[in-house]
Amino acid sequence: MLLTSFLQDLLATGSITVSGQPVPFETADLEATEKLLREYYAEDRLDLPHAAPAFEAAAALWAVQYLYYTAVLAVVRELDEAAIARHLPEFEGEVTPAASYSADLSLRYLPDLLQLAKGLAPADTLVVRLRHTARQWPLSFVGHEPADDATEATLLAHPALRGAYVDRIIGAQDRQRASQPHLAPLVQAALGAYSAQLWPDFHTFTLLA
Amino acid sequence: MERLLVLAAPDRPTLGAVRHLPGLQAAEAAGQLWLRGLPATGELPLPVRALPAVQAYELDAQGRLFAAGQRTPTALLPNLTWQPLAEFVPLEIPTAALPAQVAPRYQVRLVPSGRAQAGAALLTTLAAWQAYAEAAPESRLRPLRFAASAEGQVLVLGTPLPPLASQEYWQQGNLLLPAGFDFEAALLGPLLAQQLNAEADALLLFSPDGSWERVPLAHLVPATRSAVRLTVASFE
Repeated sequence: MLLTSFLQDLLATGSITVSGQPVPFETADLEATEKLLREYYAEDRLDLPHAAPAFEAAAALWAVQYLYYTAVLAVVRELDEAAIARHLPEFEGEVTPAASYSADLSLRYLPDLLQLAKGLAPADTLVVRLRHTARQWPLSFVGHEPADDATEATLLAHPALRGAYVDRIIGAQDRQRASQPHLAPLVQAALGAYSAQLWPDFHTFTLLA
Repeated sequence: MERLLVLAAPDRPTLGAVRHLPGLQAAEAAGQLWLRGLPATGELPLPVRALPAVQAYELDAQGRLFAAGQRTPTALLPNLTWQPLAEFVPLEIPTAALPAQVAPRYQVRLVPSGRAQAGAALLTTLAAWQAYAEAAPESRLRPLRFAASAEGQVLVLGTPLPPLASQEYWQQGNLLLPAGFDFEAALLGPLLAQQLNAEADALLLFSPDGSWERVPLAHLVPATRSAVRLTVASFE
């Protein structure tokens, strides 16, 4: 139950333990992890505005494994490019709102690992791979990499994800995103008449943009 | 020989003057009060001598009664039920001549105020609060706390307040006063806070008519979307 324990520790304590080498997960482990992810989804969706997208098990399971192997690869630095490609595959399904949100349950923790990987080896294969992933899953990487236009458009088309995305931009005070012409009005609408209170320098950089 | 006094029954209240003397007993029969337990010899105490006695007797061991200074008995002591004088003449709490005055409770009055105060809280319905929280930006919910009543009313605190049709309040310490109102006397605020909320563990929510209710601080929870939704679910 390697993956299940990994996820349980992450959700309960915020700290994780990974084995020295990437190993495949057993079927029972994946099933138990999916059950845990479903419970996490049911709890997390209560904080999402509007009606949350449905749970998509394939995306949720892909993301938690991606997170696990990223942690291993960030620690075991001798693993080569082939190992990175093998253990950090692209998501094979369509990046729908359901997939975005289900994957986000785990991918939201990835920016911290991205920072760690950058510190260990700037611009190495793992970092390049993570930055590519960050552009594909913008909901999980607010405050970090810029988003891929197409995936961001999918995100913005869904009321719940659009609200959560703008919330995260404000929460992270992501100037790069907030100054984008298509995002600035959304952020402004969320701040309302209280931008000076909720994001004191918001008007400074949006006016200059 | 033992000395006894006989009084008329209507003079019973006069026995109160000797009630404090030890050993006295009394009985009533045939419209007469009998008093015994007096000192056998010597001068009787002054309060006893002041009693309106109609007859004084000396009693011998055979129960014969001798009028004072007489050697011939004039009667036999009737069969009486003797009681200690403290029981025979019980105390009564006197009735005051004037009824006591109960200090009137002060009715708190709020009056319209020309002083503009920043809003610190609002009272709305659970339905309106839920509708707002469902779609509100997280940055607008984060500064807020709320408490719901069993009647489905919700008190929301924090700034900036949500744009809801509601009764707005301004805050003076732990007192919440309706917008546009103030106490009729400026000193009432601190005084009421001290009198009504000495532990400072609650907010006092005032209505324009001066009535108020306590909202324990422990009942206020952070205004997360999940907290609002779970609160609504608990009412269903």
